[in-house]
Amino acid sequence: MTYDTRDSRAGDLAAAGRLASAGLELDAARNALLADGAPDAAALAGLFARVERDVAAERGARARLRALSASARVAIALAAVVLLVGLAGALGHGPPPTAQAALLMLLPAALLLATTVTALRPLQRPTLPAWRRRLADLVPFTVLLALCFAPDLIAQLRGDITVHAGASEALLGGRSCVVAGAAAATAAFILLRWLDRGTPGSTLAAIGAGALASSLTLWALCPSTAAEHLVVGHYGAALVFGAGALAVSAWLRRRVG
Amino acid sequence: MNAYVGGDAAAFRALFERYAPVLLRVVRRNVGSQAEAEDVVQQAFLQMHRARADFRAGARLRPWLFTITLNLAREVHRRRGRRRETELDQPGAEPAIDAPPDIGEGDAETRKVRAALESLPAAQREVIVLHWLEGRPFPEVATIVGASVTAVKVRAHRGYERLRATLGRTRQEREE
Repeated sequence: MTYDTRDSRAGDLAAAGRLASAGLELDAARNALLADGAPDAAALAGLFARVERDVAAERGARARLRALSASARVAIALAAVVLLVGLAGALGHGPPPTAQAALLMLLPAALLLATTVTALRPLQRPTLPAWRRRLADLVPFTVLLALCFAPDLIAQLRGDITVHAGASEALLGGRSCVVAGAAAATAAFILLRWLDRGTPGSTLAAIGAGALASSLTLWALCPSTAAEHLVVGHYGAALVFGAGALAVSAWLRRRVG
Repeated sequence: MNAYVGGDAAAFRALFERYAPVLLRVVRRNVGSQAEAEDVVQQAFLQMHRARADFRAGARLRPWLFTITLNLAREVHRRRGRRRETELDQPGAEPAIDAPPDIGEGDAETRKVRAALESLPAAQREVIVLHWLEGRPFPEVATIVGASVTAVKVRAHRGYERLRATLGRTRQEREE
């Protein structure tokens, strides 16, 4: 096995030349650094063997999904959520499929698209700055919480009358929504993890996408517009799912090392 | 790469032979540890394999592969930071000394240049490694690190000035 260690020097080195004016043997130091970093043939052969083993292990349905293009994977994820919401709408007692009801779903749907694209962002694209990643992780939960406190708007868009529930009714009635919502979020999250190629930082984005998928599903499934119910049941589902997904991810990370 | 995407398995070996040495060199300058550098490069080739459907025919592979590799190298730094925080959170824990990067052999001058390089902030070091050591032009460096050409030139200028100050001081101390 032969390795190409040619030093292809190109481009403008004027800035580097200023170091030479400090009286340093810059070229000698640079050449020494380059030679110092050169790996030996045995180490490279060992590394190639490990790479071949990794590539050979890429078999099965998950490997085939991961090997699809980035746009195909995003399309599959979004199609799955549309199916989930459609199924919830067909089975549940949510609002009739009107333009107004669709408008209600516009903001979380747009956020879901953005979060899914972030969760499945390919590694060959530059990493997002840390502040944008934190924002992308926080925005889904923040927006969902804010929407819980706009029951009049939600009722108006659904063509309903706002109903206010008591605390006990909100707690009892919210349980089934927590379970249904957490299940929908978990299904979306698992699909996103299957489609993910192991991009660092994608877990939190996938959790945000799961929370949004849960919210959309519940709005198609559940007739209640009571703020108390939305906070306890719908937002509660997102929180329960989010906490559970974080805990499992942290446990897996510690286990793998 | 086009041959590999088309199903030519031998092309993968050729890609590895061509790029693995330079990637190892670049990553080692960034993460400081030979073992971690090999892990990163191993991951990079696996990611290249997984992402082959995203590679546009006729595109340049070098910036594509460098971007994947540097993104993985940055994750090494992030994990180091999380590990330090976790260790400090343990009751009664003393701050753990992060294993120093293996500066390695070589004469004293080379070791000092290497240490000066590794003392740079990560963003500047990435640019200096690609531009100074690997001879990549600024537009290509900008594509790889995901910044504008202007931002890359600013980072390079600051990085070179810091190296100049550090190595100039070292030389002065040696002469005194």
